[in-house]
Amino acid sequence: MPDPRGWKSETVMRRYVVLRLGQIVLTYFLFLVLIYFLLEALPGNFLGALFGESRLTAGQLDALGAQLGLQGSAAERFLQWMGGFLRGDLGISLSQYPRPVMEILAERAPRTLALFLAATLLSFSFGFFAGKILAMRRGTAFETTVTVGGITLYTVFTPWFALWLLWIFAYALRLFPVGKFITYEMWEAGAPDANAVFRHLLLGGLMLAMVAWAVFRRTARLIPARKRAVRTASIAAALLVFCGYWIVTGQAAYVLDILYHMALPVLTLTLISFGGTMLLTRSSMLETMREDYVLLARAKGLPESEIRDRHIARGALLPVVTTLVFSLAFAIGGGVITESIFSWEGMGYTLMEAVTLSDIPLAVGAMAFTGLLVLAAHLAADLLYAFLDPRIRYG
Amino acid sequence: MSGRPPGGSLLAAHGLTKLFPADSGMFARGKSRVHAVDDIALEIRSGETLALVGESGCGKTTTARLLVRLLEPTSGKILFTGPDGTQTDLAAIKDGAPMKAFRAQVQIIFQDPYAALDPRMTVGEIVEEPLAIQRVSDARGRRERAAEMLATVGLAPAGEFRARFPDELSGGQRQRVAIARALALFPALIIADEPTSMLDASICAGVMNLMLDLAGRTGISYLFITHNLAVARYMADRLAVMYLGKIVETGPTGEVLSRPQHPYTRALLSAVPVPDPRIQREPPRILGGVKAAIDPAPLCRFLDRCPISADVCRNNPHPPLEEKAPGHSAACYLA
Amino acid sequence: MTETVDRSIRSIRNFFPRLGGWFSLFRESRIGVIGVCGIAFFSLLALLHPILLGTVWDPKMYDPLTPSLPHPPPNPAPPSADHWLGTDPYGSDVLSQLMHGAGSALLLGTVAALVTVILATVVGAAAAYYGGLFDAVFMRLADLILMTPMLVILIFISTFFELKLLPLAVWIGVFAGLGGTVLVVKAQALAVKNRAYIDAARANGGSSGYILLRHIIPHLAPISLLYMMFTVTEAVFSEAVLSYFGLIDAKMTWGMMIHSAAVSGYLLRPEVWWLVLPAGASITLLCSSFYLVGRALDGIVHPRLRAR
Ligand SMILES: Nc1ncnc2c1ncn2[C@@H]1O[C@H](COP(=O)(O)OP(=O)(O)OP(=O)(O)O)[C@@H](O)[C@H]1O
Ligand SMILES: [Mg+2]
Repeated sequence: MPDPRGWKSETVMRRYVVLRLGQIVLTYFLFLVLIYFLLEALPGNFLGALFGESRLTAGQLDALGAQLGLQGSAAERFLQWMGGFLRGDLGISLSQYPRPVMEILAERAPRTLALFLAATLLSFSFGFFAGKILAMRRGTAFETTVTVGGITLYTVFTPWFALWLLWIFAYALRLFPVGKFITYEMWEAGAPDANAVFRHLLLGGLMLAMVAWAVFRRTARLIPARKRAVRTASIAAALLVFCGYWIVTGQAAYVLDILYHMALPVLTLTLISFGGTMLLTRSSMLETMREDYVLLARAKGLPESEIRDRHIARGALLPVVTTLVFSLAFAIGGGVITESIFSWEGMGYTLMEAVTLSDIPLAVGAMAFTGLLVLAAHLAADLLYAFLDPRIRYG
Repeated sequence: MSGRPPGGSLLAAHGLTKLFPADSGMFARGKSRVHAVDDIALEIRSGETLALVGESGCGKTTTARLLVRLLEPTSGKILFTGPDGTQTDLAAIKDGAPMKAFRAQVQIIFQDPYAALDPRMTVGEIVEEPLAIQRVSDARGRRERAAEMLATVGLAPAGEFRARFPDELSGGQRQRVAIARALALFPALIIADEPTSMLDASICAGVMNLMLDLAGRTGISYLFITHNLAVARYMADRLAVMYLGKIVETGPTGEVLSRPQHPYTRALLSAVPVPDPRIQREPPRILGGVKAAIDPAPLCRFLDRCPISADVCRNNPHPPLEEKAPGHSAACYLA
Repeated sequence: MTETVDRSIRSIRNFFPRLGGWFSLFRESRIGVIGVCGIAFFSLLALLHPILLGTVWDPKMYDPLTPSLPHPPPNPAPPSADHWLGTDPYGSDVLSQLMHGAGSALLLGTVAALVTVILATVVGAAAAYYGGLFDAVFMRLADLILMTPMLVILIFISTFFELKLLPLAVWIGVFAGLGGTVLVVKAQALAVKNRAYIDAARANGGSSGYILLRHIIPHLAPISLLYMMFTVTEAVFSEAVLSYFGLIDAKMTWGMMIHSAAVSGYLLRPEVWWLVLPAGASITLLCSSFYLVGRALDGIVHPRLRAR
């Protein structure tokens, strides 16, 4: 019998995506309006505040104002700014004058992206795994210990925790560098451009992840023994290609240097988000365990590990994904803290720098980018949810 | 009671209609409508009890909610005769002072006694609430009136029940509290929406007797909604039978039950056990089950389940209610 | 007299009819009790501070901000009989600062939580009850806020405004209130809205305002209380982060204690642990305490997670 929904689920899904996309674009526009008008609410004339004490003539001030997009009525300026934004022109940084904001952001965005993706992926995988085990071991001392640990991780004062990690791993154990993006001495004359290397690294990492995902999807139906073999082989091959590329281009050492600097921030951000995912998975698992279909699986006499992985964990994944979306904003805050403490020069670091130096165009640009990141993540989570939930109503 | 003679019209509906949108999905916003109540006429007379009978989903609750104006009618009139004899069309007034005055006169009792009482209020507060809303008397006077009402509905000692919370009461006791609340303003009419259907049979009788006893003592009128013909027979002076949003038969209770005119009423009756073995009745010959009246064809509503339908039914609109005997009407071309 | 007592007990019961049962459930939940102990501990610290300053502590020496008679150099001095937690780089007593900070944190958290609850309850109830444009506007706004990282926005705002403690508390309260909390409260209000007792009150002539106040808002109290706890955690945490980065214009808070250790270069020096450890631990502990109480309440308000 044909699936009664099959003929239309494709179009329904497309409609849903378009609808969500529309909603998200609207929300983003509102976000930009909000940011811009916060800026407008700035007490006094901000050009005057910045350059009031310098000996610029009125004419020079006007010229500077025009250059920075500070003339006309508020609405005019907003339209001008929006227009610039759409053209990819976010004005000129005041603290790194005369570098365009866009240039600074383009240099730093990939670093945040990499940090965020790596940490999210790791914390989600480990968090889900740990939560799964935790839920199956209710009432043991193990559960209590790990739960308390999870709650501590979840509520710990993040800067303090990051400082601890910095102190332990960088000072006491000397395993990792204290901060920054690269070891500058190494990258002097003759070295490739660090940002270019980093972009390639990010791209390569994404491709690797996609290959891994594709392999897992493709092999899902194979018998267990072959599945494992095929998976191991293909992923090893992909890794080999990945590493080979860097060795052949002679950039392996530089890549390793970047990864070496990245390790500690990623570890910190992962640990910060890990607790939340784990606790969430645990309660979601406990709830799913009471569903009738789980009882049915038990009654059928399936092995406990299969019940856990196939039945409970699948049902539990869904609420975890949705709730994760709500904690995204929190994770981004954690990212800003982590970047600042490890001087990882990404978006959060840039925002903090702009805020401390009152570089308003740069701060606005960093906010606009952060908003974009959050919305993209929301959309991704939405799609993931729609993809995971067989019962989704797309409405 | 000067302006409202016993037996005169108290609350009358003319052409009362309520349509609901049939589908509320995001992508399926069609023009389909559920004809929950479709062009009905009803009259509740002063001092009498009218029973509204019908299967689940036929629109009884919707009718009740329209009559107390918890729902906005799609069209139609609701004429209410005030204590001074003047008639007001309730369908035409908005919330405000006249509406508030009307609300003091007509009260409603709900089917589910567990949902009808705010779990965060004591029984005393619940019974005093209508008085407080209508600003009747002072705090002390209200407390006394509430105690009196509780005693009237058999919740004695009132002092003890007053301080209880609804979750400390049984279903029957809760329904008694709901009745006390409905009585507190000395209304002229109480609309009771299946007040006994969620109670145990033994408690049921108690509640019905209480309501009958109150009617006898105070001359209050009821619109008593039920799906149970035996209950209707016990309670009501007159009967109205409803089918898929339409009133199909109405008349004095005994008359309708002994000489049913509409095939639907006959089918309903044949499903009720008969106490007298000498009465011979045909076995039920009703086809299919009830559906919701979504965009119904302009034909007799009962057509597709009717055991006696003829060509006249298939070529004409839904039949109007016609008087077949004095005070006894049915909506059927073949009756 | 007994009449008044009886009446006030009853009115509490109006809001929390199952209070007695809740209380024993709460006592059973170990994490809840731990959380309450933590909150009690910090409240005690905050309350004791002015008492100590008025009696055994000489304000000239123990003033948490700028003592006119600071500890003689060398500073920061390690813990001693006079200064249980040592002194900071300027010769102020760290314990006194810590106790002062406890007061600030609790005040901030309370104000933020109250703002959150009042806003979320009023807006959530009204949005559920009236629907329409009001609902649409506030739901869009909630979406927007939910997607916006609060900490980042606060950092951004601090560029333009001198953030003082109480305005910060209000900002956080508004943010939390009109964001996630209003959604939860509205969902609860929607569930309550269609109960028959609300129809009964309407059929008696009760106005919308009356119904909102008497029948809807009281039902939102438990869930509001729950979200109050989470807001406190959020507020204390955010304030500490902002003060740590020196973005707040307040007198003395835990975050600022770490900030001043950082700017004087004592951040990663375990030999002067008393500059950072007590403040960092206090922030963490207070946040966890409120979070634990919230979790325990959550288990009671949403009994689905309760152990069988
Ligand atoms: N708010 C509403 N929106 C849409 N449809 C509704 C609404 N309320 C009632 N209906 C529909 O109107 C019809 C009549 O419902 P109503 O509740 O009046 O029936 P009822 O006779 O009281 O049934 P029961 O005996 O089960 O209480 C049903 O088909 C129902 O689905
Ligand atoms: Mg009904």
